[in-house]
Amino acid sequence: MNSKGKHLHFFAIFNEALSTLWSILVPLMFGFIWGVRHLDTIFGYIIIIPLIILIFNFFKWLRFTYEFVDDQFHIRSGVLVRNDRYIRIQRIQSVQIKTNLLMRPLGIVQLKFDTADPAVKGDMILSALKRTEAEKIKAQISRGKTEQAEQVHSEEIVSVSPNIDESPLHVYTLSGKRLVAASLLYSKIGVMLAAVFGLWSQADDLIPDRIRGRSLSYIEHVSLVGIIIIIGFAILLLWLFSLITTLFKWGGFKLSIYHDEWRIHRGILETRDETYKIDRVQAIRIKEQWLQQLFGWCTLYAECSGSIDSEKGDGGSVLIFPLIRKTDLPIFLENVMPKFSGPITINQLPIRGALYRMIIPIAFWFSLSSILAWWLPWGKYTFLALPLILVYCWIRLRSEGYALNEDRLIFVNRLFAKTTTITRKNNIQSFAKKNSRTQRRLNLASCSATVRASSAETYTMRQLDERDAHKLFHWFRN
Amino acid sequence: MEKKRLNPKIVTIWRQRALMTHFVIWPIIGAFTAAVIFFNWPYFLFYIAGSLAALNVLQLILYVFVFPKISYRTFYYAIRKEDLLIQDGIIIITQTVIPFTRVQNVETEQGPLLRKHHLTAVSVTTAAGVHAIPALEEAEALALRDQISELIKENPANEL
Repeated sequence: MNSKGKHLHFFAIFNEALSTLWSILVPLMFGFIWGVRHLDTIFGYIIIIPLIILIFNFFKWLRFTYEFVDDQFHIRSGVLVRNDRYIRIQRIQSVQIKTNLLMRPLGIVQLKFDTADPAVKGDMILSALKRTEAEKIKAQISRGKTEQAEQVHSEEIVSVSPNIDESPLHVYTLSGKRLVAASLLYSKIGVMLAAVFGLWSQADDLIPDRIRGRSLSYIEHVSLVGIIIIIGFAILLLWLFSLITTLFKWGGFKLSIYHDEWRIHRGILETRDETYKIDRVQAIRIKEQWLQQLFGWCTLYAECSGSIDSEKGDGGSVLIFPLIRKTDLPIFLENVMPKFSGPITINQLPIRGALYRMIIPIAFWFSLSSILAWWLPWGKYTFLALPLILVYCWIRLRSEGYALNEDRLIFVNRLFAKTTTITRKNNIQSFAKKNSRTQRRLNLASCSATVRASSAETYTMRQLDERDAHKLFHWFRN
Repeated sequence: MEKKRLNPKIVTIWRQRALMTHFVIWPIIGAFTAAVIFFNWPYFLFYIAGSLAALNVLQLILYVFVFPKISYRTFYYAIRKEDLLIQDGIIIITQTVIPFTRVQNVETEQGPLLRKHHLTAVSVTTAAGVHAIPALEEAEALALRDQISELIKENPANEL
């Protein structure tokens, strides 16, 4: 069906401009006018500003309604500019129910669902609902989906009532012992160290002059051992803190697998109920921290297309399970995500590639040490770290690798934590092979696969053998 | 598979663009230096201005004399039955494959410089990013656009 190119109505220009202006001006104007009267007293500001925000939010609340219309979810919102949004229930990708300490005693939850759109546009948030109401909406959404699916599959079966409360195929829970182990192993020592040093360097600004003088002079007098003890204590404290937050975050973790979706429940004080559709998963990430690797454990993440929950703190990926034994992984994957499961036999990368990649950190450290040795009396001792770096780089690079079986592509990368990424040919959006002049001379190449996760996510494997890179490239092309 | 190159005029266009940015930056550096002199700002700011100027000259050399030719030499694209292959790069040469099933839209763009030479830039958007072909003949670009959109229709997106 063809039609001529048409303009929007001319009024669109004013409309857009006005809405932009309004959204900036109105709160400012109100604040200004009301503030002017009480300008002489700070009290005026303190009272007025929250009041205006409250009133504004009241109107926002008043204008916000939602309803189900046939197979669509309809949200009306907007105080000055009306905003009607229809979302087809089928298009809703995941539902999340969340509470926090404030809302929990009142029995109120936050419901959030998202579509395949980017996070900013795609998220619909119903910020406060009764729990029963939220459950009802969730049920209605999943019922709507199954009805749709059935209509598509077979028109004859009409009388079959879709059972929403189908029992899950598998349920995995995190036992108390494992929870403690997971939290213990998860603790990020590197981050904590950075935090300690950050605090240390910021101490000048944080501590008022008078006290600082005292504390600094005190520190000057303590021996080296004392300083080490203080730092150790601070690290311990931070570590305990992170342990406790992790305990609360992951407490009561429960993963239930239904035939086309996952339901994840977690949290002790702030609970979260998340529902993810399985066909939305683009890649699986298996992460092993140093400590985890030592004891043979790993953490499982999934990269899903669509929106992210920016507060989640896992870089937009979905935590599938916090702690699982490496030996149980194949069966677990088979149950959770059959499409991504299968044998993982890693092909190592060529040694010359590892050597080539070691040049940069070594050169960097060498020049840094040289400069330090030139300027500072203790500078020459930094050369001692060189063999350590050498060994670390060697271990790090030799543990990387890739695997290819059928339509699954597996990359193993390591910076500090060892990360195994599993993705499928169908989920890769674009694939690139790169090499520089030196790489070409050494017969090396890098490959990167881009996947649509919450944002475009690129997985890169550096310094593959040219032949392997070629193989991967052709695997993707055919 | 047929490897297609860019239109050779793109080299001139790249050079013109680089020259434009080059000449935009000189007045900025000049104004900065003048400000340092007139307002008695600390002396070390001269060094900053000087290094900016040096960088600007470096930019001129690289982007006008060195890079365009190399870029032109390495760039090619090829349309196959199911995917688009683009090679580009200056020091690191990248070959990218974009299957048509993943393409969400095709966009053509023409700025004043390109219009003067009757060229068009085509970019292909997937869910994971934009891949661009910087300059093609107008007719060729339109043909490519239609071809890709035709191929998208033939391979309806099976994801999601």
